[in-house]
Amino acid sequence: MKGAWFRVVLPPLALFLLVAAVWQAMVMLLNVPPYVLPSPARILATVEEQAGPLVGASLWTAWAAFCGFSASLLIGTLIAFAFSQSDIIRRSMYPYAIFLQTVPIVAIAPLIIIWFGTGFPSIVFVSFIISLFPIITNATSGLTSVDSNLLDLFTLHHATRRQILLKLRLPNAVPHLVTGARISSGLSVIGAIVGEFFAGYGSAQHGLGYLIVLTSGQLKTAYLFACIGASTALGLIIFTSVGLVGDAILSRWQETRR
Amino acid sequence: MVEARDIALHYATGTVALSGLSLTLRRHEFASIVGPSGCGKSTLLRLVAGLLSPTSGDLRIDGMSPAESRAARRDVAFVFQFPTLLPWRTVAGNLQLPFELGAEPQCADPDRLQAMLELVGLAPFCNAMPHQLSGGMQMRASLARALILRPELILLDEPFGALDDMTRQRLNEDLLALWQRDRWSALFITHNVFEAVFLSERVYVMGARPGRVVAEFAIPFPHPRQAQLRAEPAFAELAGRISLALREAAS
Repeated sequence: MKGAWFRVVLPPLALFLLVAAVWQAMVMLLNVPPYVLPSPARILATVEEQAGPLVGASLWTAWAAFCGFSASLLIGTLIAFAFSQSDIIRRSMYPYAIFLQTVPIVAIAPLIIIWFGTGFPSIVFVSFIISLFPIITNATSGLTSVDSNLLDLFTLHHATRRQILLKLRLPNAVPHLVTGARISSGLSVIGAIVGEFFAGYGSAQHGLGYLIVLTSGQLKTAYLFACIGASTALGLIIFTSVGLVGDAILSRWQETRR
Repeated sequence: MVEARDIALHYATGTVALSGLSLTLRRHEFASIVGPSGCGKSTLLRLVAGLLSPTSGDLRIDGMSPAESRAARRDVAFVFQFPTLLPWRTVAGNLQLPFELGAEPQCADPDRLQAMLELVGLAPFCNAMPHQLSGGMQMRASLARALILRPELILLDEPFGALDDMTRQRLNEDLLALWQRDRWSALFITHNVFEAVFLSERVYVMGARPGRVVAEFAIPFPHPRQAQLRAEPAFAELAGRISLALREAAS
């Protein structure tokens, strides 16, 4: 067990330290200006120095991502439910659901700002739009891709529509929904940061996306690196927590667990 | 129990799945249907279950059409080619399912559940999830689920086709013991002639394109049948004759 832990953690950690060391050496030897490429030591110092604002911005972005993710989980499941109940609804609406997947968010961001103004609601909305599609597709396929023999079994036992939904379709959709949520959780963080690019200014509190725009504009490159690091860490934390919750739920659905 | 007279089933695509098919399943009888793959064996079973309707011909279950029989809520049990268990429910939970469905869901009687689990040898595994069981044990659970409502007619669609031969023989013996106990009527589909002879009192051979019954064999071996029956010359001779009829049907 301990050996496995070492095998998993040690190699990437060693590589990380090696790259950081080479990076540090190159910056020092070649005298690279810090606004082009700050040394790891300088980035680390900035993280320490700006820990308060960084954590504050990360929490704010996490909150926005969480709201966007929750909204897409709820509304995406409801849309999928409508799709699974009616062929006409699915056929008429599905092409527009694909629109969510294909539209470049930067193209509709100005529209969102016109509608919702700058600030938190717009950010949550962008996060919601970006993370909605995987929930819709996965939940729909989970609700509709039911083993035909099981459907026959339910029919033979005179199951009502409601029983087929509650005892067959919904439980069948859970593993699919977990997969969708996993993809969606990562996207919701990206959505929140992108949202802050466009709508994150002008309020008392701000998130990582706004901080990235600000620090790059001021050529505070070390701070920018710290923001990138915080964004990555945030995405990782949210993705992993959703993954752990998903695994806990899926322990009953073992055969579809990956 | 089941009376089929000159049944035909044409699909909308124009394919003739069954034509001029007649067979009789007597009450308390165990009958098997063997036939080349694609001859419409499973289709026939779905007709009897009322999941499909014949294009023409007369199909009666206890004097009623399958639809009437279904409306009268005379439960027909169906055992599929695969265990078809709900993967998110325990073995006991899967056995409860038939009680929970329908306009008037009932509570599963725990004693009956326990007795059924013991009957199929799954009592120690009642809280196991299906994926924790072997293929043979999953099939036992599937059989138990079919039997738990004490149906008079059981339709089995190649239930042991995916199992290894040892497990299959074992389950054949267990299935026969269960049948001897309660004497439901059974229509059993297989492509394994030995299995059909071992289990049945009557074997129908089906031909393909269109699917129809081409031969009928009465299996005279008395009950209870033991595993040793498989080694007897009369068993081999009968199985051989059915195999020849099957070959003829397939060519």
